[in-house]
Amino acid sequence: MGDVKLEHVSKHYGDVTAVDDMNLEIQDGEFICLVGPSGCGKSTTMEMIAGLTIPSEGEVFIGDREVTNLPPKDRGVAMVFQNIALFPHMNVYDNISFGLRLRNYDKEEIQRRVERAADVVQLEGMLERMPDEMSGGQRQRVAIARAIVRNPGVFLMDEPLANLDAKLRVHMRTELQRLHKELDTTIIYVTHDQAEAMTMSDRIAVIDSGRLQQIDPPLVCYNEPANLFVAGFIGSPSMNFLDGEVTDYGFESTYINVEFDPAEIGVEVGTDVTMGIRPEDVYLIEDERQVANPSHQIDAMTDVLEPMGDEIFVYLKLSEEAHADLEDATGVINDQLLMSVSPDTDVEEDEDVTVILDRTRVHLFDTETGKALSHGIESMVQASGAPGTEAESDD
Amino acid sequence: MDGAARTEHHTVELAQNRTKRPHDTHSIHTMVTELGLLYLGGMTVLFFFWAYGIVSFVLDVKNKFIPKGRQYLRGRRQLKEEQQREQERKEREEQLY
Repeated sequence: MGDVKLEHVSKHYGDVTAVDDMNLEIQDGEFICLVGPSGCGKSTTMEMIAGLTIPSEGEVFIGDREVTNLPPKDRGVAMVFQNIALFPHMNVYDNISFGLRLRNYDKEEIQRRVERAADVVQLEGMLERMPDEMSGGQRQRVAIARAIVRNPGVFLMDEPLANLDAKLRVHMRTELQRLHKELDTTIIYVTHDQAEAMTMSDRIAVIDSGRLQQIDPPLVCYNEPANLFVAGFIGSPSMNFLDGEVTDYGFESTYINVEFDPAEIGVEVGTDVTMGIRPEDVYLIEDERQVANPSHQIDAMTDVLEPMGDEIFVYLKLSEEAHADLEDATGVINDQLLMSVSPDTDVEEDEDVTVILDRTRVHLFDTETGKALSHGIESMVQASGAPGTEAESDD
Repeated sequence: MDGAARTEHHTVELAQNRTKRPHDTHSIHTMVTELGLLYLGGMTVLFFFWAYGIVSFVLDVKNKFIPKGRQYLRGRRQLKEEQQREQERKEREEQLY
């Protein structure tokens, strides 16, 4: 059984809390990514599951057993490390069979399992090679094969692709997905690369400052982030954030207003809120017909263009003085907006443009707590005197 | 030289010596005092540096050598502990291979 459960698990190093009251329930056969910035506690969490680190508080369950204080060998888990860690003096066969030889398996069984693992990771014909005769990707596959031969209930992978180049990383991602499909085993995968997490996992556990922020399928994390951190972390480029206030007419900020009925989303008038909108949900006015529920028009000036091939990132200045230095501690830049447009869009630097937002893709967060208040605004306030185009076009 | 002449010569010598004595005595006194002072000064300087050396050495032992020795031992101990931790960690990691 590959169920993994963490109950109120914490890890303290002196005064530093690496993991704080972590509760996590992973189903058998699930591919879970622990994702977060460097130092957020994701590797410590994995090490506590592996048995490399003993939790300061809480309990770890694998299958139906409590394994909190058991050594790694008794947990039924196998781990693939970032540094690959192959024995340089052993050939591929010996490296793959190391764990089995350590557990005194008989020779025929070892050979059978090694050949099967080599077949799964497509290393047939390379079993006699030494690690220094192999590429980075092949060595990583040896490390994965070494984990496979043991037939573990749970695979733990701690940034296994971090040392590979971008192209190989993308290739190995596919390989890992194929492997998961083939083995149907629980995989817990640690990464700081949210693109890896988005593409491979069944669910993403977003961690920040040792605390679990959200655990949901990738698209739920993307479309309905639980808080400002998740909204900013998931998605590349990051979501645009603008600070403002809830008024009778909706969201009001210095440069952008979005109408909605505060009662409908249960936000009190006067609450300080942060509006979030992803770059792909900001449209040029020419593309208005693509937006079912557009916001008021926003006047802006293009600043820097970043052509990416399949899209262009356009940095928009909402004021003359707009500058990245105005970014506040929470990553909010109140007078800049990042927009993603198709590569054939006729747009130049320092050009006056009018943009609109897709209201159904607007997110609202409580500025103080960071918690999500609403994902998508459907309702409109029809009251007269609502701030609109005129207020915005003044900017 | 006969006895009278010897006596006269002796008398003259005595008279000369008598006339010389105050000057010679003064000269001897001066020489002894300067040498003594030089000797005393030299000894004082030597004593100062000897004492300074001893005190400095004691203070160096107390403030420099003993702390450095302790630091070295502490470093060795920490290195040993670190190596032990790494070895244990490596062994635990190998259990996961």
